[in-house]
Amino acid sequence: MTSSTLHIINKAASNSQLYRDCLDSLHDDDGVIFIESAVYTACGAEPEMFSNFNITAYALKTDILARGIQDKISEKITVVDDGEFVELCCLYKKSVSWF
Amino acid sequence: MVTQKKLLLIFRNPPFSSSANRDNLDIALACSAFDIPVSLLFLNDAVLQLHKNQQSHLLEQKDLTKTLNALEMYDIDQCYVIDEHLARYQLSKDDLILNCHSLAREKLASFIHDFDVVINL
Amino acid sequence: MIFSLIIYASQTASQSEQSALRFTRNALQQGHTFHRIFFYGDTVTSMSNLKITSRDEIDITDQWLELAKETDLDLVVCIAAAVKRGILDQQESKRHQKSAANLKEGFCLSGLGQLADAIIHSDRVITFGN
Repeated sequence: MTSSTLHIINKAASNSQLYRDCLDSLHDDDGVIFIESAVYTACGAEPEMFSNFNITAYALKTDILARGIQDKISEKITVVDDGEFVELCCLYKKSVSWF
Repeated sequence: MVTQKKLLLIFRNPPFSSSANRDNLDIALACSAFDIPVSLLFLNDAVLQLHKNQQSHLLEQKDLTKTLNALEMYDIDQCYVIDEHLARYQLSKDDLILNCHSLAREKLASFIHDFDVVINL
Repeated sequence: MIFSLIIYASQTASQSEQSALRFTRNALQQGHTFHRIFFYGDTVTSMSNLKITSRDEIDITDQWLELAKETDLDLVVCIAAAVKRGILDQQESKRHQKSAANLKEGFCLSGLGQLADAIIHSDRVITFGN
């Protein structure tokens, strides 16, 4: 089990202050999962903002499919289903929600 | 025997903008009454919640200052702000109603890393 | 693993409560348990039994109750957040001399001590908010 944190973010990247705070809070080996409107952040070049960090970025499949953006997800993103989201919450020691 | 967990409450809102800061403070008081060690982190606009000389009566609102001042009575004395966030509003620690520890922005990640539970309202 | 959730979101303004419900269903399916689901802030307005959900929409509040029936979930609504927003059980209605109570059956009003207790007794506390 990792001693790291899973950051759960649910707003689109246009909420720039929220993303800056989340980025400032990222520790080595942390995870970030994009859920709800944040799945748009998993598209195209958006994940670049996380590229300076040694973290894993996930996005929630149900929210991606609901928005019809499954073809636009960056290959840097690990897409997880609802069950895997639960597993991530077990794997990481704690979660911090950004909303 | 339940091991003691360290709780961090993150504040992100300026005063009078929503009930989030009050709700978060209420969590702090309740958890402290259950002997959970509580730390408070005031990020960005939330440092303004700590600014002296607020006159909430002008807005016919209840003041959080009294509750904040009462924190020490609940043994909550671990309050943190980020240097850079104070500087953004030209605040110094003397402008704050609480005696806060200041953190460099670069230390934020390792600071959060050390807690067991984080609530970020 | 023992989970507790804090739900801090308005049902009409966000998807968060739905996310929390889906999370709970999936965790239960995997054999995890929940110490408590704690409804806080604007979320509590969803627990009025005077709420009308249009026929082509799904009432998430009812979904919680259905899940709780099968799995014994402890659905706690923060009492301070609730009375402030006009969500009263019989006892609070009487105490404040109001004409009616409207807390949906299946939910229970209680204090923030229940959240502190959830933090102490859960392996993971996850917040869903907006």
